[in-house]
Amino acid sequence: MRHGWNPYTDNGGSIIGIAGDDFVILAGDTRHTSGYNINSRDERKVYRLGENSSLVLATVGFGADAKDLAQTMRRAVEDFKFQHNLKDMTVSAAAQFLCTVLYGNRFFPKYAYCILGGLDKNGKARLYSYDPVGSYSKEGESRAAAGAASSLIVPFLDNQVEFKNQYIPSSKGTQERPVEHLDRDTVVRLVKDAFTGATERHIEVGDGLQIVTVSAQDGYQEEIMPLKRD
Amino acid sequence: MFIARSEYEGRLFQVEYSLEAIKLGSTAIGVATGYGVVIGVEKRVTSTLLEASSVEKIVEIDSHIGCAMSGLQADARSMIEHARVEAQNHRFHYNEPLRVESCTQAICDLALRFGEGADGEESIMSRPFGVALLIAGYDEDGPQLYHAEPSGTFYRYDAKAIGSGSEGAQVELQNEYHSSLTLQEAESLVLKTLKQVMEEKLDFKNVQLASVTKEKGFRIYTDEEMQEVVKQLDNA
Amino acid sequence: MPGFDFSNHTRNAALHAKGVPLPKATSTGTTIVGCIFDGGVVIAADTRATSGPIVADKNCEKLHYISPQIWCAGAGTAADTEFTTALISSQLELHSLSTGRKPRVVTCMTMLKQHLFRYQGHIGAYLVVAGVDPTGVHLFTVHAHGSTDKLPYVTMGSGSLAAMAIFESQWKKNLTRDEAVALCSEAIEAGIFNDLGSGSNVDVCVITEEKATLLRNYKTPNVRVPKEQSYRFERGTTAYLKEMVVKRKDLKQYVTIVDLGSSAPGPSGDVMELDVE
Repeated sequence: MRHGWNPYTDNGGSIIGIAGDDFVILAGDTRHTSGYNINSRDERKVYRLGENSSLVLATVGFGADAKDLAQTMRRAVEDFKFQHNLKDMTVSAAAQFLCTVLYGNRFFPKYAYCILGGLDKNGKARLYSYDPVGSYSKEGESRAAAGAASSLIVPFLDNQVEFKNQYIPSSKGTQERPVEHLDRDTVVRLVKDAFTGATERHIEVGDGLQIVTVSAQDGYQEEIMPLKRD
Repeated sequence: MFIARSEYEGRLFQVEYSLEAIKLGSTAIGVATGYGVVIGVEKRVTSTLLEASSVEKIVEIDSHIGCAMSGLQADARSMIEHARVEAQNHRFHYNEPLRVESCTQAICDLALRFGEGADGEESIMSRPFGVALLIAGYDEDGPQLYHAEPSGTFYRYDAKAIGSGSEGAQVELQNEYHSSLTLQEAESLVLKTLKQVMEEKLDFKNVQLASVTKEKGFRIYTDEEMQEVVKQLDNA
Repeated sequence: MPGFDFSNHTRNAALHAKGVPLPKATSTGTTIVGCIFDGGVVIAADTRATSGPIVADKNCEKLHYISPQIWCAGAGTAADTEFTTALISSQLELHSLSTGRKPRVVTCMTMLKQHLFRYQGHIGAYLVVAGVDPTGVHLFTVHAHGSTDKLPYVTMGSGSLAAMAIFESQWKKNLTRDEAVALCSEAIEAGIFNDLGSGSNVDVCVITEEKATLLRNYKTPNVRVPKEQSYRFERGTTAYLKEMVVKRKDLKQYVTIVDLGSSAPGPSGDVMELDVE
């Protein structure tokens, strides 16, 4: 068997996004790996798309492609401003644009999983998630996870954000627990628990946790929390 | 870019001539209100044998943008084609309608692509466009009316007339326009003004109206609607 | 030994050729080290067991007993290190019994290498063998293909480079027991933090002429942080398809109850608490 050069590397790590009513939280661990090695303990995966933008992009997969996509998006958002009389690109416009960028590389894909978040014109949270060739849902979603530990995190988020498999106790399992918007503190707690949990059981997740919050009230906020380094 | 002939004092004669040429074109008028924009043109049906419906001086660019032209119609075709592509591209890339100002800017970006190309590259056009446009549209900033010149400059107007009757028409618009016009009032203001400056007697076949509103987007008036508004004008 | 069962080999080779992947073995993608000091030898290991990128066990034991004063640290396929060391331990015990002598580390090492060589590397056991016997203090490494080394300090496993970096920069002759323990522990920690295949805690085993001391979880530098909130569900949150309540008096319908009595022979386990009315 001949072995050709492989243009992709999996640099590990995980990202998640949760949309509240008027805030959206994107988070990612800050470990960058190849194989059993740690390349960096502080390589951030969540990018703000512009100095004063409400748009936030988290990318994971092949680090170089992920970073390139973030840069492409950042430039597109800035360009858009100049092209359209200093109007900000809306989150739905950015969502569609990211889709066309990813699909544009259909036959040499950017090996990166993206989660895009932001606030719409009415200050309501929007969250979109993509596969490497641009498939996404225009309706957006309430939660998303991608990367190495996504299979560990998704069921947790399904249960804790969408209340999947939870029934109203008095209904004897006939009535599903209704979905409601979570408050910000709860979401941050869920994000931290998702990552400390993933760190315990996935070798490529750890070192640090970058949590970015965009809200109508308080704008952009970023927090870095230490994770286990083993 | 381009190198145009500039003989004296930095003046670009080619552009100035094209600006003059527009003054010979048929009159076109646009009036913007808070509810929408109305644009109207005279059709100059020069022969009884001419099929009036084949004179197309108002066209759609996208469902929320349309334009009226004055000058060389053939030149307008390529500008409008460009604008339509830009509008569709914007929808494709951003899943939202193109802003009216951005559309106007896109058209004007074309205007100065004449003359020799830089570094010997091929240029597309040998001369400037000989047409001016009134671009009407509706976007998140509400109804808007723009005037785009062959020089590549554009301005936003509340009410604007271009073409051979523009001087007189603009004076009329100046006197009659106010910021609380309804769409119907704008309709009749456009027609009334056209009537004053047209050489032929205005009827429903030698004028054409169109409107842009939030609800219906860009719409060219049908023959029946034209008959109706012309009748109302005659009664008034 | 009874030997391996190869009867599925042809079938599995055919399945593999058709694209069915091999089952994933739990690997102790590991850091293990050993170091001789004045009067004895220390071996140490991390406690992470992995299956691909997933942590299969956060606190597994990689220090294996061979004989009272011979211990073995294992890296590679978990099952292979486990079985190979148990097998050799048992053989060495028999050998010791029939010769009436204390087992020697070289004997252990030789048996291991002969066993591993026979299986041409298919038994994925990478071992650090250490011990004290009547001939003195010994430290060896044994690779899966059967090669061995005899050195004053050794490292193996995926974290071997990280660990060796510590030895190469800090090892010196005539270490004391405490210095050797500290050095081995630090080498394992280098593996824990810098090699993704290694993690969690440090296990140490010190062997001297008198005895072997296993220091299980000698260091625990990776204690899980407390959760941010409780995930207790209110009773009744989970749906169920069928509900059946069994009263204590009806229990005989479902299970056979034999009263052993207090004088009955055999082991009497803990009394089972029945959570019924």
